[in-house]
Amino acid sequence: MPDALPDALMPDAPMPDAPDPDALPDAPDSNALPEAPDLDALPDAPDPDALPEVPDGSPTTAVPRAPSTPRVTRVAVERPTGFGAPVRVRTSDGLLAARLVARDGTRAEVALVAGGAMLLGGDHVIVSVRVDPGCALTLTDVGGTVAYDGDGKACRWDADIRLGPGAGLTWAGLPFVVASGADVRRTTTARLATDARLTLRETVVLGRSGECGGRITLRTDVADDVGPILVEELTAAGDHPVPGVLGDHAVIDTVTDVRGSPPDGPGDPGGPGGPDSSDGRGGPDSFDGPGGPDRPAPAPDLDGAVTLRLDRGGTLTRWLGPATHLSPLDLAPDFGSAGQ
Amino acid sequence: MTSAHALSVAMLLADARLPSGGHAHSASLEPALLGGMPTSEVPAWLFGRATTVSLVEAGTAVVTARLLAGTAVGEPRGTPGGTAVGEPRGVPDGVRPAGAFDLADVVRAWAARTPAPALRDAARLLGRGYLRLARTLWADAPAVRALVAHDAAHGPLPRAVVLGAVAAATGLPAADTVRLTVYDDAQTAASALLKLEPLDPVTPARWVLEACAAAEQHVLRVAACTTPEDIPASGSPQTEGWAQAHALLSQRLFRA
Repeated sequence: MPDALPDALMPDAPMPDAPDPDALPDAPDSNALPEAPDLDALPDAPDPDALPEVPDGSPTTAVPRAPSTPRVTRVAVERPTGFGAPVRVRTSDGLLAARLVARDGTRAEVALVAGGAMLLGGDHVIVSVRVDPGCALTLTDVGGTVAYDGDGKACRWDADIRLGPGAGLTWAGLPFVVASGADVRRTTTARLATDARLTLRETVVLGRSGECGGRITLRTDVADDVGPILVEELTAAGDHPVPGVLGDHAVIDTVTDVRGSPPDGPGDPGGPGGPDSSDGRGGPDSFDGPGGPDRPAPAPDLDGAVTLRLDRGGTLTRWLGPATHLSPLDLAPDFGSAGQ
Repeated sequence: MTSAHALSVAMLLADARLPSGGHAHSASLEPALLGGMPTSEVPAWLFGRATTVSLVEAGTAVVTARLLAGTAVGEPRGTPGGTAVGEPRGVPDGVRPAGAFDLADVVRAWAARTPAPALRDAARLLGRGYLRLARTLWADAPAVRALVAHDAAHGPLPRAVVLGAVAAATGLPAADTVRLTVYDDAQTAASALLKLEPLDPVTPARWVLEACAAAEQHVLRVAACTTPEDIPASGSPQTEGWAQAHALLSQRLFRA
């Protein structure tokens, strides 16, 4: 249960009505954690059922340091087994460990914790996120990440997100710092089923304090059943700033808010406009505010940030600047905001 | 009647005297200067464009050309192998073979790689001018007719797609389509620069060639694109921000 977690793991707004996990029936396949199963033994196609369900508040364990081992951090949120039961959350640990923070009948919050010093040259972080139809997941980073000087060896960070129909994911990422000498490829791939909603914050910083920073390729690929929604590959190198790309800005801070196409058809695929993300279902927590399908975004009250309305609906809000604390963007780990 | 050589077509398309509407555009240069970029950074900025956004446009044109090459009538469908079949539409989306794509898929791939609405609008405006030209010059070409049909049904197509159709209609090789796209973008910005800043007119001409040279290492890769997924996605966030701010200005010399 949440109380068992160190304070640092508590969300800003813990769910007040979280059911008492002790009152929940044990999942039949709930193996004893904290020992993560050996994922290398798993087949390529991940079968979430093969993973044990995580008991709430399982203690953080030190993951053995094994650079170059592409162990997968998995988080899967599944529908409750019965009426009144909470969603089932299955996790496994890779270079990042996944810790369940809270859950109720439709939502879960999971924190990602670095298992050791990362990222070093040769490291490959893989995060796999699955959210079942109608369920919602909030992912939080417990600390920022630094990609260190890899001494000529590159490192990778890949997130693969699959959202079922009507599922939601809010991932409030903390800064990802590219130290001088680091060479990183960081990708986020998301596939959204009908009406799924994805809200991501990604903050990349070139260089620690006093550094100009290393090299990063940042790829985002979001698609639904109709086709691509956002495909972007940014390449930046701290020692070679390019005007028009990032200029001399050290921080690129992005909040992406997109949805899978509604069930009643995708609108006009070839024309401008398309379905808008603000169809009244976003709820009061929708950060991008109201706006009709063809209405321009209200002048965003985000100093220096730009909100881009994507062709197929949804928004990408971005700020370029010198330091993360100056960014006007905010995607607090607001538990529950991903849900309907 | 023999057709004009593809090189002649390329020169025609790259010529600022061509009435395609390109003179109203600065290829994002005016937005950049108004956004605070000093003139001294224009060469590096041109280099950046030639290796990012220009390649998105070029890849879109190349894939469009592959899709439309050898089409008959109706909306063509392509396969990853690059072959296109001229079957009229009417096949439900659910039954198309895996990997097959059509013009709407190419447009969608381009739009997903062009997140800034101001830049999509500018590209569609330019596409309209190009299509008017193409419709007049290559009226009977199936590739152009396919575009006209799509345009009528779904609205304006971006310039890169129209350029791809012209390439298909005139036999412009893929690598030259890439070079044409890069050159046109750089030259559009360079000639706009002379209207915005006092400068020796020869200086930007050298920058244009330098930008083309920077793109050369990417030409073959982009020319090899066959599916919408292959199209480069190299974005330019600062340019996108400047473009959005510029679109709201009333005092500007260029459309975008």
